[in-house]
Amino acid sequence: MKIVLRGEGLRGLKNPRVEGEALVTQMPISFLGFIDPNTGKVIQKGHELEGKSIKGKILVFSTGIGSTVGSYVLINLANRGLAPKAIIQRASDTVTLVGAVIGEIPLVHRLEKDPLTVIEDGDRVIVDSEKGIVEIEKREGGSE
Amino acid sequence: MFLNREEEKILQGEYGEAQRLAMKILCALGDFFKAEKLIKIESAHISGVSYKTGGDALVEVLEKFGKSKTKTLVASTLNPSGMDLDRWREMGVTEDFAQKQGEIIKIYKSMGILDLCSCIPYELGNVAKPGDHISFSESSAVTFMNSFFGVYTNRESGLSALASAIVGKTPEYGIHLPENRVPEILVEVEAELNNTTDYGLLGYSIGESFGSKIPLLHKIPSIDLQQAKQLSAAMAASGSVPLFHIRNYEERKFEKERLEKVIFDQKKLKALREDFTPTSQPDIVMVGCPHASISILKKISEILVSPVSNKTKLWIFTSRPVKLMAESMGYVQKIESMGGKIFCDTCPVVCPIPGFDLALTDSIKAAHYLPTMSKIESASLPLEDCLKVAMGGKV
Repeated sequence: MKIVLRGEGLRGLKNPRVEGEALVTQMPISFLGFIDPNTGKVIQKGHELEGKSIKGKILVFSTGIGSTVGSYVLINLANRGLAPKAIIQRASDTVTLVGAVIGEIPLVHRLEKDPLTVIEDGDRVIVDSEKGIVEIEKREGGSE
Repeated sequence: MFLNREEEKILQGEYGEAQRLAMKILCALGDFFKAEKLIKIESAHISGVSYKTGGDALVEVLEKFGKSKTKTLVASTLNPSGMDLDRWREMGVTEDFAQKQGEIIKIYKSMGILDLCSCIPYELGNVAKPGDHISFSESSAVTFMNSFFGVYTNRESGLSALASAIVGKTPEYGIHLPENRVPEILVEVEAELNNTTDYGLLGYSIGESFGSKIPLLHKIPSIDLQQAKQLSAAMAASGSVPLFHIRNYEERKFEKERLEKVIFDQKKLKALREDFTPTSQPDIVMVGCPHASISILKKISEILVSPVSNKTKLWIFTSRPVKLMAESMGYVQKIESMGGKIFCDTCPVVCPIPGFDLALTDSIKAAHYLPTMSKIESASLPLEDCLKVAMGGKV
């Protein structure tokens, strides 16, 4: 089953349309501190994604918190090929967005349905940052 | 976002590459967050200085800006770097790190940005009057400026604050708009806050529970500088709270608001205190997150009546101007004669801290970041207790 959600996307990227596997968390993310810049793994104790890598994923989370240096962490990850393929947020924040602008990471937010509810780990997701559209192909055995 | 002719020219690159890149970042933000226009800012404060946190990406981005010999248009200050710029060897910082750190500072300075290297620019002259617009990064300073001074700034990233400093403007969105500054949640503070660390715990709880919601704190009679620093720093670390209101200051304005109400009671405070209480003896005590004020250095010099234990280090972090004042008053000499070290230009969160197992700090923000940022365990106690432990007291 395919679900299409419309929202608002970051425009002007070189490659605004990407496809990948969803990694979803109900918890917010501080790129500084939560993510190991050398591996792309989540290292914050007690975080839902602790031990998992955000590399190459379609990362779905509510919003960015914590340090204002998080943008540089995201850019570092992008430069090393460790960044998420795309980011979907319930509501974006300046720190994450600036990281996406310079790191050339497609980003959408304010979708017509809550992405944290609709999208589950392992779903195939296409993100079109230019159009602000997300297409979700539910994984086999998923709840929808 | 609407751009006037001058702004269009900047975006087209007529004033050079640094200006163009800065305007590109501001336009991306303004378009995405639906700002109608750019507004002038009074000043900027820029995070992303430490090589530890910014890494090679920071150096690369700065080189792009630095090449075109651009100067910032408004008064701008830097956040802490990764080391004491004079005494970095005493901190165990490597030559390689020091060299990269030096390059970063040099590029920022070449753009006319003051190498204050402190997270408390508001104590050191980078201030504005209520209602003024500024562009600040450093999450604790953002919350402090919005809440304590009534100055308007979004939670800028280090890079967007730099872009704003270069252009002298910021996109008008978020809490630059008065309608976005109203409280969204009412926090009844029933717990008895005994010291500044308790204010940190309150902030931590608010940030963790409500993310970016703007709280109205009720039943706090007043708030002083030190309390506001710890409160701001903690709520901006565990969450992304850009602004808090104190009911007593704002009572009339928000009387009619119907807000979701939560209670911060004694039980909650006690449970949080326990979460942060050390269970073993720390091998380093760190004070000065946010950077210690002159009054704190005075207090430490008075409390430190016996030498620092040989099993513990005592590192105190402040800005260079505050250290100069403290030297003039003899506080630095007193503290260092007891074995404490006072470092400038850096902080517990952004400096590399080699070879320690457990850090004790009076700062909830520092305790929050240390385990992931420096791979050492952390715990928190009020300042007086931290100093007792430093002097050999058992936890």
